[in-house]
Amino acid sequence: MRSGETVPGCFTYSMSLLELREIQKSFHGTRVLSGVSLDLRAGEVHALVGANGAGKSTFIKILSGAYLRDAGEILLDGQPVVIHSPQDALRLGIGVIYQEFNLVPELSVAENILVGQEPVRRLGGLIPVISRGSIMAEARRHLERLGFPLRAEQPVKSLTTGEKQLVEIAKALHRNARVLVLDEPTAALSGGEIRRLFGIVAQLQERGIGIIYISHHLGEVFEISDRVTVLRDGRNVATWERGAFSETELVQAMIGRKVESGERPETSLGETVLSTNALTGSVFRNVSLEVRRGEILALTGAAGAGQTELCWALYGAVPVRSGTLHLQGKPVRWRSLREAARAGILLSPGDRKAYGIIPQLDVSTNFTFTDLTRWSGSGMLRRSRVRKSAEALIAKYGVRCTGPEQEIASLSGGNQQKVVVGRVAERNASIYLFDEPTRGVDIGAREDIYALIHALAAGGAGVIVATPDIQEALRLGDRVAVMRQGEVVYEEPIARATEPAILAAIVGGSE
Amino acid sequence: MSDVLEKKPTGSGNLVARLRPFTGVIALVVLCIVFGSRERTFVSPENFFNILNAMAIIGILAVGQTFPLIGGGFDLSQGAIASFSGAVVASLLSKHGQPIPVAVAAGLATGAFLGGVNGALIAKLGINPFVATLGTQIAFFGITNVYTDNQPMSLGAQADAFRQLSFGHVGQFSYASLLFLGLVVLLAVVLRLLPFGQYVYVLGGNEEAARLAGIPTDRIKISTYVLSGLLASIGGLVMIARAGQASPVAGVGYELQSLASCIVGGIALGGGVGSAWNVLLGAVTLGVVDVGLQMAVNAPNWRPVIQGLIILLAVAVDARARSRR
Repeated sequence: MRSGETVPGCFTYSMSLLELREIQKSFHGTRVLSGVSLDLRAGEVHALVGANGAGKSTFIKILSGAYLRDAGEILLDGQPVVIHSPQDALRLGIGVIYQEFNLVPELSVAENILVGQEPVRRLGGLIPVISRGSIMAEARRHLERLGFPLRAEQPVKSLTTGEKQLVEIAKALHRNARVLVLDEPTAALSGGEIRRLFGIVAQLQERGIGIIYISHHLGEVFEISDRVTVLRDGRNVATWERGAFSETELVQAMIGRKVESGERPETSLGETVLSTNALTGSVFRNVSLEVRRGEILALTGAAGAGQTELCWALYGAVPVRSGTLHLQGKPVRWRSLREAARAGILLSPGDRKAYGIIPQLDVSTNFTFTDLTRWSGSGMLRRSRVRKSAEALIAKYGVRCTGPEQEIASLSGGNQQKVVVGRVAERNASIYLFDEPTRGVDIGAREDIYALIHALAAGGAGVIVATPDIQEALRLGDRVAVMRQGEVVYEEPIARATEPAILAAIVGGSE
Repeated sequence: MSDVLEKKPTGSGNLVARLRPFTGVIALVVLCIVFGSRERTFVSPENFFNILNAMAIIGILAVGQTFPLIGGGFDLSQGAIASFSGAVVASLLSKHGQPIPVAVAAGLATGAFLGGVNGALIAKLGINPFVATLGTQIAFFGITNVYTDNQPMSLGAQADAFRQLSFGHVGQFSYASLLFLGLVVLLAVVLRLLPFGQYVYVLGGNEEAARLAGIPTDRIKISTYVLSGLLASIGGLVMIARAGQASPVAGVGYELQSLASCIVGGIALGGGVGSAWNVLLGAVTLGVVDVGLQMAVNAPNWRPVIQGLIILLAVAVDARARSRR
């Protein structure tokens, strides 16, 4: 029974399953939440959207017990509850699936689902003994009930991201979660996995579970949410029912200003600056591409199709098995990354946690560490110059932080991504490779990054952008190419590229 | 997305993949063959029991080291705890004329207590295990020196009875080696059957996940160090039984050997992985290397060098095998 429907003969009382009222939170004197409210009905998908830094994470962490609220109330089934720790939240039936999963990689699916709740026999009535057979059996029963295609004995570390997410969901449901918070659940999923997730969400709705859905992908928000709440700068801006709002209104509410219509400045294309011929590596095969000065080539495709590896190979970070690479007309074969950078080709990596940022260091260092000679004088690093530049860069790229000394790990994902992109964009190159430049970045900042990429192209460089987001590819590219299973299966100038054709190319014939 | 690094296993290299769980045993066999070829008596039943007895102390420490190791840390103070516990037992036996059971109980309590100190420093104060246990190692050795006044301490009137711990035999097995084997079995039971064991794996595998699941991570962590200290003190009992006295310089470097034992046996330094079998394998391997080098290599100065190289090789092979997953 979906929320809002009435069962004949029953007195329905549309009581909220979960209600958060006027939640306030400050950190070190900075107001992060100024009285945010949200209510969730049983069986509802309630989307929570907002720009990076709007307060979504903090809000959810208060709900999950990771943070303590300064003021405000939380009510479950109309009764006020106290949530002082993650265990409190779990006990109340609130489950949160974070982007970074909390799974134990070396253990099996079953052990992860039942973690902390392992069935125990008492030997001689006294000694607790874990019954491994029971763990497997119970997990299998649970997975079957949910219809998840997972094998209970499989070690979690061998699962795909989508499968790991299923384990997290199964784990939360095993603890009888009645409220499930999904934090950017589709960020690392393939198209098929996204559809499967949506199917599961529908299933959960039918069981009366309320879902809070946080996402930057407005398309998804439109598709599955019954209501949307928009936060901005720690405040509620709007709450809409399904169908009562348009994409423009949503975006405007999120960023508080009108969105540019995304006009591309006219650029004239120059000579070919990068070309490959039958380039083959360990994931990609037979890639022949060309990029001209001033041109943006958007490379899209499913996860694992080879875009990332291609970018890495062009940059010299992974070896190339065969084929040729020409930079500005001259054939090149990188012997070291330094060679590549000096020759004028730069990469902004996709997985920022692994390759993009140095988490323990501050924003200033992360902006500048690849090119410290710029701020050196007589061989010595001039920190005052670095500081000034860092401040300017923070302003230029709109990085929301307390200052250049803030540890970058405490910035939101989107702001971290701006630093990664900015660091590369600040250097001179004839070819820029951007791997997922807007990953985790909200709408407002996305536009800024797009403008940046356009500016780099206008300045005469060639740019390759690898992105899983078709809209983004269509928005940015002068040409769009699609990779599938390591090969380039589609390539068209933007005037002739269409979304259905691209989708078909990504998915392939018999899918 | 990270298609570069999520290299799914390909068809080739299947033989290597299937042999991987056995690399430890294969290496052990190879070592035995190598030593056996240089010195025939190496591969004999007497020598087998000899090796088992020789590495019993380190083996007992390694059983204890397993707990903090799987939990994601390690204990560098085991040697010092063994030494101090030994000194406590010796002094109770000789200076205070206590019966053996009382002295032993005091020694074990000391080990558990010192382990608890480690645990508190690491879990409650958040000091990282390397710094914490290095510091306590130095402190505990120092206390031993103070306590023994820098002199070896005898075992008193009951020395002979006590020393049976090291010299007594059941068949060809020395008491010490039986104690070691018994503790290995106990380790297996704790790790596989008790909820506590499972929690140690979860703690080491992903501490945050453990916390969020409601597992009392501080308590589990402290317990792992208490167990490490307790087993170190058991090792200390065998130490003083073997030497006939408690010496302030005994036990130096033992914790590194116990760590090496675990790691060579296949327990990951990062935590979350490992079993009692690994401890047995690792301890026996180190014992084989130690005794083998004594028997087969005439230049005593080269033995530690070769020993170190073998350990490095074992760890390197294991690391390569892991990264190829």
